[in-house]
Amino acid sequence: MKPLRCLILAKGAASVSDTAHLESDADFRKASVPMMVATLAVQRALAVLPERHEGEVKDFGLVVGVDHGELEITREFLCTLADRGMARPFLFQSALHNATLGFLSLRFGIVGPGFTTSTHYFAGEDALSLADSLIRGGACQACLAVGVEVTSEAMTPAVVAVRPVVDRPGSGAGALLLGSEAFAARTGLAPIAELRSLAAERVGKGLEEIRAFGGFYGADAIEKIARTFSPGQSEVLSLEKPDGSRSVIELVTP
Amino acid sequence: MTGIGVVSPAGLGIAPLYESCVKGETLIAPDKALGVPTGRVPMAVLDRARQDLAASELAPAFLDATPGTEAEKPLLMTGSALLQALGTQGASIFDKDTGLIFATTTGHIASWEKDLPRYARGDVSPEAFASSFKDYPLTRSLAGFVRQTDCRGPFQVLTSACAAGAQALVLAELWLRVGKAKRVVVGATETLTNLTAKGFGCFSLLAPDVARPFAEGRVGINLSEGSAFMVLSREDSAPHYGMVLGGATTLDAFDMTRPHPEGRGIHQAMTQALSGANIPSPLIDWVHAHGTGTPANDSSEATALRMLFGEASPPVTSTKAIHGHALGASGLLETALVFEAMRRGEILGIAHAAALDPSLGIPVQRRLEKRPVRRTLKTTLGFGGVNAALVLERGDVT
Repeated sequence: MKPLRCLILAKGAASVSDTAHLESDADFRKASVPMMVATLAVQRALAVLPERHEGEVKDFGLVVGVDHGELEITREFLCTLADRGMARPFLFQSALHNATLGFLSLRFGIVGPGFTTSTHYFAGEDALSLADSLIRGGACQACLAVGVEVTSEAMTPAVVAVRPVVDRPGSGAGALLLGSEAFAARTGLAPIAELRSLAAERVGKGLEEIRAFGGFYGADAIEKIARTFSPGQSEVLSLEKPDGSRSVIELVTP
Repeated sequence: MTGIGVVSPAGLGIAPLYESCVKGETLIAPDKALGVPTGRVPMAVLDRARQDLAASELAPAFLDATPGTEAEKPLLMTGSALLQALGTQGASIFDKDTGLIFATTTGHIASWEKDLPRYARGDVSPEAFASSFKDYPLTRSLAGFVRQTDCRGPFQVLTSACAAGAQALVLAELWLRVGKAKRVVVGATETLTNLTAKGFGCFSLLAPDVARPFAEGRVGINLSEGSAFMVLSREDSAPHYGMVLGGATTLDAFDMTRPHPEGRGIHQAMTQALSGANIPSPLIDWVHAHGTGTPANDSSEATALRMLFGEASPPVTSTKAIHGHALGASGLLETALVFEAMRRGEILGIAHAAALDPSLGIPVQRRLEKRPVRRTLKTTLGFGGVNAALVLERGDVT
């Protein structure tokens, strides 16, 4: 059986500062900042989808890569519980790592296959890899791979204490729309790149190779591709992690 | 599926958990620490797990936390279940063709959730808090093992709430089918935490006594803990406990916490799993349902099952009245029970005596029944509207 090719058809990225206008939006009344920033990234990726194909979004796959998860909401839930003896339902439902997946599914009406992956420094790479597997395996013809992380200001000193080599944790979101060749042909979307290979060296080589990273977070591989990769390029992205581990993503022009 | 390992409130291995289900002896007991009945893994079981690991090649990977602490517990549970599943093959099977998928909802949060409010109030320094908070990545339980094996094959840590364990099997089947791996080690671990106890409590989803899935007047779930691992391989000739013929996962896009009232998402997952397995619904002998015991879950699942099977539904069981709901680990723990039941030629019963809810309209299996079971449909549902369904087939190991 000839393996399906997996193409990157659209990309979007968003920063936390982009979400300011959403705070007064009733649709986002129960949204955490990661949910908002991920929503914007997905909206930007889907903007290229021709209107006549918008109805197909519901059948897309959806994979969210996140490392910290909802650390700020978790902090708020546990502190409210400890200080006031109150457990708030909204905070609990949003505290789980899976919360952004659920929110995006609701927001975009996606009922296809959905996963949250939290493989620490490789959450972004693994979201991309999982989306690729879903398409190659025929579970869906198109899949959104989303990498998102929003670092809690209150938790930053603790995160830095755990990861002393990180200058400060970063925040942001990226979304890539992956699709099969058949989907690209049907929708007329011009491929930005083909995901040729993705390899991870998960074990750091030792302290001597550790160096400081500014704004690093576990799910940022997708955001890096969304922000920096240009159609027509072929590129091997080598993403080094704070502990000396790294990933290598090969993107080629179709 | 060629290897299996289980840690549950009943003990180590699938046998004690299965025997509890056969006898109808619930493992749910009052829990002073959390204030609600739960299914806890006893200290004696953890002690045994520590001993087994200490005598194994996995000791460096799983015995790096202070004994008796919350930080150690998920490591012992994960390490022991993995050790059992690997059996005599050991960690040597981890080459570039071996995938690893782990599922959890809260990971090691129990080891730092108590300290967090003190840190937030400024009572402890970031450096002091870091001694427990360092365990926050959900990869923590397997971090040592990944270092030990160099983990060159594909790896995922799935955190899709209560569906994560079953999703791990869905993904393993996919990886094997598309050739991403030649074998996949799949595991899931969940421990009891204040976060989940108070969180589910504030939604009024916890039962004040033993949960009664599919019963009239059911009020909620019992939280529990446990770990399960399985080794799946494409080698058809190997003796095996069972097969994952197909699997699928879907989203509801309905609500963050409630399942779709008409069970649309789980119905779609079941339909896709059967289609992927190329098995028509009349060839399913048994349904092992998620059956948490909440009014909404059981109603949603029953509606979906009626839609799928019509008037010809096979018997439906939930065993959560025995072992409780281990959240992200539940799908894998219960799949282990299904494989064991099929191996023994038995259908497990619902294991509570409460009157069943006639409005559900499904044939709930009351008691254990000796009957050959070739294929079982397994379902799970989770927060965020995530659903997963598996088509499982009996193996050739007797």
